[in-house]
Amino acid sequence: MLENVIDNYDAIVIGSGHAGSEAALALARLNKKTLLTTLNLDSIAFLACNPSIGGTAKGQLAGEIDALGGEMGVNADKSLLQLRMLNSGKGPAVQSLRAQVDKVEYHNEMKHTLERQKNLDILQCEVAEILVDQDKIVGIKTGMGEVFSCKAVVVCTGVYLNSKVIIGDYTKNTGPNGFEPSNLLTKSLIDLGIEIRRFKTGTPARVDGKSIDYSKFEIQPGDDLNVSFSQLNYNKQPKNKHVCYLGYTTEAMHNCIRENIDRAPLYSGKIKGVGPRYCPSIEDKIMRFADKERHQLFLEPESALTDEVYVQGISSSMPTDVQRKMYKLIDGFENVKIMRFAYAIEYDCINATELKNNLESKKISGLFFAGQINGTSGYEEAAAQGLMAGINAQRYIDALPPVVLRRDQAYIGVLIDDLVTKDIIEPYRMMTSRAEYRLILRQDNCDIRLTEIGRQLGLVDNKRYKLFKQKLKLIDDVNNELKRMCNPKQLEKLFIDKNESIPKSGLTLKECIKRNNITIFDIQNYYNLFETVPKNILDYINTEIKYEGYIKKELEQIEKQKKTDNISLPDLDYNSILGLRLEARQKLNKFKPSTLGQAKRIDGVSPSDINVLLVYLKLKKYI
Amino acid sequence: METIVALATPPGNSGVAIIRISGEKSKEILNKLIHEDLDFEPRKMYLKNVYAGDIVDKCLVVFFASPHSYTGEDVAEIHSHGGYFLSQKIIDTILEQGVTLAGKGEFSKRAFINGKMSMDQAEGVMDLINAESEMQAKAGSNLIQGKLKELISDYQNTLTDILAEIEAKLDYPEYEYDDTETKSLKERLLALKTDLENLIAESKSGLIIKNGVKVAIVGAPNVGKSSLLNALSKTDKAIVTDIAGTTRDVIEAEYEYNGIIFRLYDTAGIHESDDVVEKIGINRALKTIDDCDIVLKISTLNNICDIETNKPTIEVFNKSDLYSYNDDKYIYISALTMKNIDKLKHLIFEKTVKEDFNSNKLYLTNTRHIECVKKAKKAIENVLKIFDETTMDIISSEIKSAWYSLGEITGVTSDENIIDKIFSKFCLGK
Repeated sequence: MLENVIDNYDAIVIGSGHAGSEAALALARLNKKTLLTTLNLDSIAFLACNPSIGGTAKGQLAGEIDALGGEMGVNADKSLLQLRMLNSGKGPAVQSLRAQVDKVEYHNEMKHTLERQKNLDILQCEVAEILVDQDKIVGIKTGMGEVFSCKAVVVCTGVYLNSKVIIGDYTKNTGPNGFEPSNLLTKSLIDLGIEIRRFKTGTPARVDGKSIDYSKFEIQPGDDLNVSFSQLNYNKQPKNKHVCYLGYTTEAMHNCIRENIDRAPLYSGKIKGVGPRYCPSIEDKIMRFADKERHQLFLEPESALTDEVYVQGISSSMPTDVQRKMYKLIDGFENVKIMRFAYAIEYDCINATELKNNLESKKISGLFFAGQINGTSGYEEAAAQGLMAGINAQRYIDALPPVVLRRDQAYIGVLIDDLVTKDIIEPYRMMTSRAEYRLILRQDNCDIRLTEIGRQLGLVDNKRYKLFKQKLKLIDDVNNELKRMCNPKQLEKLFIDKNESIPKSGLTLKECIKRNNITIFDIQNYYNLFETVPKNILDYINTEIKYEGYIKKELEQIEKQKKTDNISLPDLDYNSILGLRLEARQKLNKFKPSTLGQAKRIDGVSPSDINVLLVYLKLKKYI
Repeated sequence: METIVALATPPGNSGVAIIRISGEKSKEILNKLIHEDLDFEPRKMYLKNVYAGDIVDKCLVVFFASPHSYTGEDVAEIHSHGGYFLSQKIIDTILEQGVTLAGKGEFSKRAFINGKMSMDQAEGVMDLINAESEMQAKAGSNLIQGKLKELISDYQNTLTDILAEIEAKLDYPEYEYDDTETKSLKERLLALKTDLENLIAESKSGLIIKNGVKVAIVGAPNVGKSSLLNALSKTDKAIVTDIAGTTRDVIEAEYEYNGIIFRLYDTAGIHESDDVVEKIGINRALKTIDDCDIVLKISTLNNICDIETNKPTIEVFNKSDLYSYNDDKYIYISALTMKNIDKLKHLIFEKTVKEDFNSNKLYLTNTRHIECVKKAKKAIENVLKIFDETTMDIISSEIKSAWYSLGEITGVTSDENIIDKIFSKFCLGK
């Protein structure tokens, strides 16, 4: 029994970044009495790097979080500065929303949402110890010695565990932006038998917008879109309030970096953590791609309430004098004033293969991990994990079976499955190329895929559910209308206009849309249909029709895969299965996959190893 | 008694073939085969490379010390990969060491002599060698060396490169790309498609190496089809009579030529018939033609074969001991006198395998592999078809499915390989 307990909670979430906020909200909304601890209330949902949400694959993640009843999409819509649809010319499957958001507002809005949430307390403190009894969570103890009891803990420490900021020779044990690091918790995790490793990431300088000569840059305006991150805003037209700018590095800047490369901590050996290929520093870019004459950079507004500008593409850990020199060598930055220096940051994280696919530790019951501590990078990746960890912590407390999204259901499923099965050696970023069912996991159908699941879990409230049902009804109505047969005579003009061969016999409107050059909007104009249907719904239907054949093929693949992928694996000693290649035996013993599908995705396990496993399972009558 | 050697397992296609040596020299011979000098622990299996001429095979070898062996003498066994040629090659190498090829039932005889087996047991032991071909052993041993995998890996790498380019642009749309490749995506896909097509076309040769060439012998009744079968195969499998319509079922026989097995299918004479049984035979004959790689159309002076088929054919004029004419339309043979039979064999070889056949080349011989390559080719074909009218998400999805299909052969199916490529090729990220 714990002594001197200040308060009893169902769950405690450690850390209030993007993962922690979602985890705490999910738990509280699922009626768990929850405590959210943070090192600093002013760092809640802090956008420590880009002032932006979404992007390729990440836009899908944000949409999925929203469909499941999470907060990220809602919060991004509230603090929007500019919205774009990436890859708009490359097909709907790879289109992603990307927003510039106001980082001050983003923090304020999320903080306020958390404050107003029923069942949720927020406390500024440093958690020193996770309290366990017989490998089960019983509570936490803060650095100041206060004890709180709970049944589940979600650890969302982001980059704050033993974090160290590096700028040239200068290092400081601090979190991002001068926020306090968490220095006590690592020891507690190690005592619990959790393996700790060290990753690295970085951020560029923030410069004074007034010191930039914008005439040297290319304007990047937002897109006029009728979509938002959150389905709750489905009928709103988002407003673009700010623009971004595109510019380039110069040869002079490259030379400056090359001349000073021995002073770069990354090259002098000062940085020991493993950094992501996805966010290379400018010195890394220049050294690794020596023959590239220039690199792009983007200027992004940090907030409507500040002149600070984020310089995307130029993250660095060079000493301050080199930073001053090199930034000035960018065209248009001749008189630039740096307000915050670029820095690299090292932090402790865990090996997520120590987690089950519900993000719970394999060793300690009720101990969940989410976000950057699991070795990911990115706000959306963190929030997605936070949401799922929150959901699964509630299910653990209520003795319900875990909820694990499949790879063919959501990017969230791909993300978590990758995390717990792949030997990740650098911060993991979500990319559309990681999803094998990309044509199905689209930005435009996140809600169709997941709202019903969110409803059953208890996170989709009546308002959202009603909107969803209305949308389904609209889609149904349109689809019914599209079944209408048309006389080829009637269609002649349209087909000639669109350079399509004129049909010989009658065909349905849907069949017209299947033609290469005809879209649902042509049909809409031609027949004056669907006047009250929002454009994004028509877009969605258009995609479903045009992609029908390919989607069907993917669905068939999913069905085929499911049969073998879902076969669960007992706790086997793979060393005793001699038909497996040695590498496969070692990898399988290391990761102990829970299904054949997971086994298949482990690097080093070949299709023939899977066949051996299948035969083995059959022989031993496991299946 | 002299040391003897023979194949102990039934000849032909099998996973494993066992070569047994019996006699005093067994241990010495075994050491020579594995290029070592071991004092073998009896009845213990060793995994060793066995050297037979220019072929190396990973085999299990075992030594039994007298009297605890099958024959009661010192016995060595080599468990090699199956197939006739490989085991034959090993046996040849052993024979070079002054060992004698065991006569029929000789092991059993020795076992009997040494009190290891009762007489009736010994009599029950039979071994028949079913000739398999030299080429097949080569095809098999190429596979062992993984050359084929290398080739398929090259093709898959081409796709990895292409995918990396596409995926980089999809995942990092805001970045600019220097196109380092001189050839367009489409050109590269087209080249790969051709490569895969060739591989598939050549897989026919691969299958021929493995399964042999199927030769149909067709013609009117009583033109001597069965005699020809007997002549080619040097057997008397087919009943030969002067009575037309003797052959009612399809008769099979085979012979080896230039290391390839040729399987002969003698068919019922094709003509209008009221005989029910003969009619069935004729239908089978027509079906046989469909399944074969080449058709020998047999004509005689009074019976010109006019069967139409789109298969490669050789016009054979039989009974040319009675009549022949100097023209190029026919090859004039006589199954009776064996006239031009070897020439015919050569012609069949040339028409079926020789053109695109090269014993040092790689041929797909595994049906599963062939299927995978076909799937990959089909996906690429489809990409090329829709390339100009569709978007990158679809193109990438098709290319990826081709990539996976080839991965089924190479064992590389993890997306991480593509992602690695993206970041080694392009400078991306904030």
